[in-house]
Amino acid sequence: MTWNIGGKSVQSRLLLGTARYPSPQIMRQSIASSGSEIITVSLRRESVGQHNGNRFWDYIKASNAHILPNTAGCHSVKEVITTAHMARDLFDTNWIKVEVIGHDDTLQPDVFGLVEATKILIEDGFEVFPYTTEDLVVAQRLVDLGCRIIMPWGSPIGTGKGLRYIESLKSMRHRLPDVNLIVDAGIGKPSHACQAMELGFDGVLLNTAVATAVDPETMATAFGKAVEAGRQAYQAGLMQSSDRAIPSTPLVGKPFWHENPL
Amino acid sequence: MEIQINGKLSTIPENLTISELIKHLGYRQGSIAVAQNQSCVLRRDYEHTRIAQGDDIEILAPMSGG
Repeated sequence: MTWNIGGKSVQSRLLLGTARYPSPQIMRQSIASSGSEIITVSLRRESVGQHNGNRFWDYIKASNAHILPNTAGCHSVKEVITTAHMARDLFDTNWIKVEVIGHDDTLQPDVFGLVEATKILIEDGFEVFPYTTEDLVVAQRLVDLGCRIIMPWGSPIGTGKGLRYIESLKSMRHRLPDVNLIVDAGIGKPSHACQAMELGFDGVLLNTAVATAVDPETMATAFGKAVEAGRQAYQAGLMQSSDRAIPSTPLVGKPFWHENPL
Repeated sequence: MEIQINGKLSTIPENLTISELIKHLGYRQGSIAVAQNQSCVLRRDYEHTRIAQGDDIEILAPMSGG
């Protein structure tokens, strides 16, 4: 079923990063295996005489995926704004995944800088994909600024710990029913991605769990299926959990029962 | 003329435009993005944006990212 995200229509609800793969070929195969139609990229300095960026860009263009540039590594609003403009000029897209790093060890987003940068970028015509925490007030502020997409973390970037803030994520889903919610960061295994989708999240963005797997291509396939399974489960309606055991087999007509035992 | 290119001090000919600098350095236009003194220079402005002594130029290329 088609998913409308940031003015585009896609089939897959898995967004995949392009970093840390053993080789560009494995990256390209993994993107294809995952079924992802949205991939994240960055902008980095390129030394004179080196043309690694050219080769990477050629690989990315060949994937035919939608490009979601990020502002990874930016620590200030000024850096984010400049990087976003450079990305728009180079990649010909108004999409930007806004990251403002607030702490070098935890890579926790600076939500104050995020809100400030998002306001400027939305006024400038960008479709902002804000990487944020599980904080509902921040998410609501971003929506008020015009964000149609919110990307809270599951747990810190690269940790693979899964949905550490699950109650807050549930609350965010409940409070922001009309916003595209994407869990970004901290997803370590397909079951984490499936869990996020079962909560009713609209998509999942991940990178390291696929790129650093022993077999990235197969792991990409697994994540694609997990995201799809979680989405189907959410749409099908999950059963209510219970604190009491409830037999699933009917008691009526059970054998070896006698009204008057001998 | 001395300027900073990607954080390194560099000597370049006088009065170059961004377009001429890219060619001078051997970059492929269309696969890089340029900032001058922390502000983005759009591709359409490369031809008529001149570089001044002491400018801080960033030349960025597409790279992998999460």
